[in-house]
Amino acid sequence: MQIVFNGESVQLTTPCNLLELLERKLSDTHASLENVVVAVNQDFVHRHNYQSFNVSDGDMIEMLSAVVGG
Amino acid sequence: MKVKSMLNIADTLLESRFFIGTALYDSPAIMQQSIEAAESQVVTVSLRRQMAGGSDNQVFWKFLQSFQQENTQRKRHILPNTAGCHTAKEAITLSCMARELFKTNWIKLEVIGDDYTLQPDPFELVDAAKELVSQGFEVFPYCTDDLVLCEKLLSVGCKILMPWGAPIGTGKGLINPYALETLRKRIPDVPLVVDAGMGSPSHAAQAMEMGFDAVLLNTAVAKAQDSVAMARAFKLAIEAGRLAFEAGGMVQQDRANASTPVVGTPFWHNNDC
Repeated sequence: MQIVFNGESVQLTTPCNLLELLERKLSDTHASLENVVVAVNQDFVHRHNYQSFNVSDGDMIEMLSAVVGG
Repeated sequence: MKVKSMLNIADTLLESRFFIGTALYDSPAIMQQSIEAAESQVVTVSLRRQMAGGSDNQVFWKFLQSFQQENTQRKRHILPNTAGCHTAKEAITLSCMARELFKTNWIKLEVIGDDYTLQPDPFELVDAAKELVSQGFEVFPYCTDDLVLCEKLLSVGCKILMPWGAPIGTGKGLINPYALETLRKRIPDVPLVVDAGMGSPSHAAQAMEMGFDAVLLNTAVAKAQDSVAMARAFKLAIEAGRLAFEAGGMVQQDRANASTPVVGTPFWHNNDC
């Protein structure tokens, strides 16, 4: 299964839900789940729905965090 | 003498009329010191992709938490923006993400229509504002000084407007004072915050003397040689401008009028004698 995560193509070998994917991605960062928010295919996904949201082929997932801004 | 009035915005009373951005500073420490010097109660922030590593994000996150918690007497607020969005759909989604992340329904709504001027797209802006208001957001729309656009934003439920002084980051000051004065006259009862384009404290003072309720800026402080000193300079200018507005300025006139009494002027000769 091929998805796009934060603008980069990612190959997933096994099906997963959004929570599993995010935990995997967050292990590469200093952030925790409460420090990020997520949109899939330009739709906001509330954190309560991460576990029930199954990632599908072609999904475009954005995981965002707080940054400086004007 | 009048006491400095409070700003009532989004059902919130603020002592400070200086909203400040958190971007472009030389270091997080200088950013924090500048915000303290500005005595701002509202700071703007944004959202971007969480990258691998990303330790800077955690430093910033901790700052935001302390910013809101440290001063309980003088409540401080985070104003997330939708910078970089070009459509109403993008801006609405990012606003929802900001609400969840920052735990606030305040949103500085930016929908850019032109990448050279960073001018807002008025049509997408109004569409996004309408939807966000219906979802319970307190929308702070970054808009131009176009009167009709501003009235449309009010008609869809915005209770605050943030017209530009000049394009973001240009430092040109108030490039169309006539349009801004007209806005202030035609929309006297809605909080108007001049957002973007100011380069020096005199620009901010000018906006406040014109009767605008507050000023939002970032680059002029962050890119100053001494950001902390410049933050204080803007704070003082904004306070001075507001005080001058409330004091009521004199009416300009073309003819000179001596301020020293004429009666008893020495060496005066009546030509009729």
